[in-house]
Amino acid sequence: MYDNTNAERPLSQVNALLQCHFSRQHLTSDLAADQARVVRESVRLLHAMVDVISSNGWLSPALATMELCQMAVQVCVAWLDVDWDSTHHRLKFKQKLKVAMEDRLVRTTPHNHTHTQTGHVGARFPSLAATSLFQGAGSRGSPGRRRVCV
Amino acid sequence: MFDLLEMDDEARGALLEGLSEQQTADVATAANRYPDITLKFEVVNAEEVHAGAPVLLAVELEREFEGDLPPVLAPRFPTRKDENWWLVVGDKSSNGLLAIKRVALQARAKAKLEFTAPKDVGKATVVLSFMCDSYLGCDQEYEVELDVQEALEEEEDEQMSE
Repeated sequence: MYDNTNAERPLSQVNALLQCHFSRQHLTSDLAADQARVVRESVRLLHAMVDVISSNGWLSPALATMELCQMAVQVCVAWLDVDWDSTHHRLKFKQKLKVAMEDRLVRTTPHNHTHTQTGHVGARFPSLAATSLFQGAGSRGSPGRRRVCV
Repeated sequence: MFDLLEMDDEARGALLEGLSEQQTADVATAANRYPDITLKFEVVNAEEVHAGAPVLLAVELEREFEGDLPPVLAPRFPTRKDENWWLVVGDKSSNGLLAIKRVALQARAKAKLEFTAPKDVGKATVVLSFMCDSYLGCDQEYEVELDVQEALEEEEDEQMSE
């Protein structure tokens, strides 16, 4: 996939920058500036791809492209369970959530678009006013640095 | 995500135990910004869906959010990103995409999708997908039942003359 002799080619560079984006590598400021541009453009290109694919009438490639777009924005590759920050917190959090679910403190998490959420609608956000902790914490906190994948 | 928001304070406290104050705040920011959207749909001409004729699907979207909507919460994305959504009508059996519409959803939005009814008379099911371009796991999918009646005569005439 990656050929040393082609390292100067824009194609290889863009590929490398995107790989770094998805694997959350830290780059020096020059490269990071290039990467920012590539990532920004990639989302626009993915939108354009959705347009092209949908004018061909292909359903599943269109949905897959939309999902790839989500992953590019959040830098969360859904099919790889990578622990980027290698902190134990996320792992511990996942385990606790599992235990909580087994205790039926919470319902099973609806995930992905294959599940309808009809029954769920309406009850979702009663907590906005009720949970002082979350609202208070939310307004006080700066934008999150760590993405929580529940 | 919604489970986290719906939990009692006590249970959530136990769940988030061990996180620093900053981390808890980050979790809260993310959870509160996560899109919570109610989707309602209706086939406008449900009584008279004819094979090969247009079907009108009206979709109503409503977001649960107080105040002005900030940009997408994406700490690792280099620039400001606004949410975009796609409404897709598809046919799973043939993997065909029947209609698509891009929606920029703030508090609420209405959209109408038009697509061609299946050729076969009888019950048919198409799938309405509501996809986000920025958040994972918040996509919605609904089955739309259609009762397809025989094709209109006019259309048959047109097809004959072609």
